[in-house]
Amino acid sequence: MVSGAGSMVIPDDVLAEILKRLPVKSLCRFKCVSTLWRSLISDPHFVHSHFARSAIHPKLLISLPSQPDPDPPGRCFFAANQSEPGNPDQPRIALPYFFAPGTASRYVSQSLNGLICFQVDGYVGVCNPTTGKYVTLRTIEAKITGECAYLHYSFGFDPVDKKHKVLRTLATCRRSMPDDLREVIMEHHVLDLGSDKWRRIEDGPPHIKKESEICFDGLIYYRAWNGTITNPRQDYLVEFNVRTERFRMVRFPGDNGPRGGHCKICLIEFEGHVAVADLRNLKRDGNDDVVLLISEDFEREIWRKKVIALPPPWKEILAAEEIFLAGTVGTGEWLLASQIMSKPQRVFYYNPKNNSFHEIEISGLPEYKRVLPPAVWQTFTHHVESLVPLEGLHERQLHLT
Amino acid sequence: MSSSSSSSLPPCPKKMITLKSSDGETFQIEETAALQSKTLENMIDENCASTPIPLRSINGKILAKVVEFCNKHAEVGVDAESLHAWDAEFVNVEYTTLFDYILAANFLEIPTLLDLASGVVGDMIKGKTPDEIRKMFNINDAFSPEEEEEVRRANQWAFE
Repeated sequence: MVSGAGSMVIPDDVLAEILKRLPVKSLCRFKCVSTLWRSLISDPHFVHSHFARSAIHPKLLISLPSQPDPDPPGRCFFAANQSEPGNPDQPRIALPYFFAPGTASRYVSQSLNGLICFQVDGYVGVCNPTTGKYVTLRTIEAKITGECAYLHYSFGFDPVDKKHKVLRTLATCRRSMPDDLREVIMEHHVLDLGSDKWRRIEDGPPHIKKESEICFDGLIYYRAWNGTITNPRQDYLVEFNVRTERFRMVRFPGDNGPRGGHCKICLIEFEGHVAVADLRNLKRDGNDDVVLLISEDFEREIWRKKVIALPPPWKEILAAEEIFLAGTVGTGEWLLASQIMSKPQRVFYYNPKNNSFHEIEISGLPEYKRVLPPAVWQTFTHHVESLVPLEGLHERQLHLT
Repeated sequence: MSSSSSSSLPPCPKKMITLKSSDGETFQIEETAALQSKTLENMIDENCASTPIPLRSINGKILAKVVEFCNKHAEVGVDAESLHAWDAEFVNVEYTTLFDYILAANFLEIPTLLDLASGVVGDMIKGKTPDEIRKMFNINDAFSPEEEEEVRRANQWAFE
């Protein structure tokens, strides 16, 4: 109980009721108010109810590489409001979150329950972008015996146990047979966030991750190939259950598409199912703009096809080569954005329920003089500000720009 | 239009319940308005609302305002915009009164009032320093200077 103004006493649950409406920044400051306020704000139940409240006002988390020379290499994170009550068309101002120094790799995960995972300088880190708290995960010495090896990380959240996990997959390939076939040896590790140990888990099917994962309802999905050179055009869809730590793998549906055209074929959550969205046919005068293959039965590879014709004015904008599907947002809308920086910077929201679009202009992002190479393109994700702490041996505070 | 037939209908009797504040004042409130309170709703369901309901934690001044809030929010045909303006005026009070509203809304379980008053207090305090908060909430169980320094260092970014 806190003694309130005058003689009244404010019960803890009422205080929590007031505090859960506050931004993360205010709450981190208010941890200094008193021991009671600190323990209340740090309480996992409070963190959870604050998150649920915070989800009403989601942010758009944008990451882009720093401008090489004169700035030091690294990745800058910005956030802008997604919902702007009363002013849906007003440009949103992106405010700087923090700067992660190092040579940025392309891997930046989607924001899961307030946290993101990304790779910098060969290290993999998990970060609460709102607080700038960052943990670098311990690396594992990779014993590479084959001729080539592929190391990938994926980030997942299990909503049942409310646990974040990082999946590390190492695929080592070697030529073992006389007829030039390759053997792929897998090694999978999982790290529970908060722990410092990688646990070796049962080996899944041989595969090499090709593109960033999506994660929803405790399941990670990503596109992969099986590492052999017998049928290199056949892609696979890998599912990893974050809670049970089991893999499932099926053939990637559809015609797989040309390699390199990957930003036009994306995985997406559609009405609670994993779906493949194919935007390759998006042309000014076509009708089958978006072909969706929605998983009806993962194991038996049953996919339902849905063809969407977009409203004409949007075809031209979205047919541009650099436009990609960045994921879904809390409302079920699809977020589309440009992988390269442009001015004005715009993002697009598509509502598949009523086939409607709206666009939002983002201001406040830095302007670069040079066009940056594709390897360091910008990323976008739906983000809910969260108090989720990052406890670990290597916790650091990243500088908020 | 058959305006004559409707006027011949007897007026529907309004079911009233009586609330009694901590300082003994009594208030009449229509049952439909009172149903916004989960606490009162339960009492009505259990037929405990036939005698005046004693509310020992709410004084007459605050209970009058709570009844006024419930009546306004039970009114039929109020458009969202004017209700919003009315709400803004309703919470345009000292923060000590807002705390009273929050406590009453929490006790009576009136989510709309709890939401409104907590939101206003939240807006009021979100930019404040820990010192200002301690004053406002009359908090004495502060950290030792060393402890405070440590907590402050861990959350330094929030002070910038």
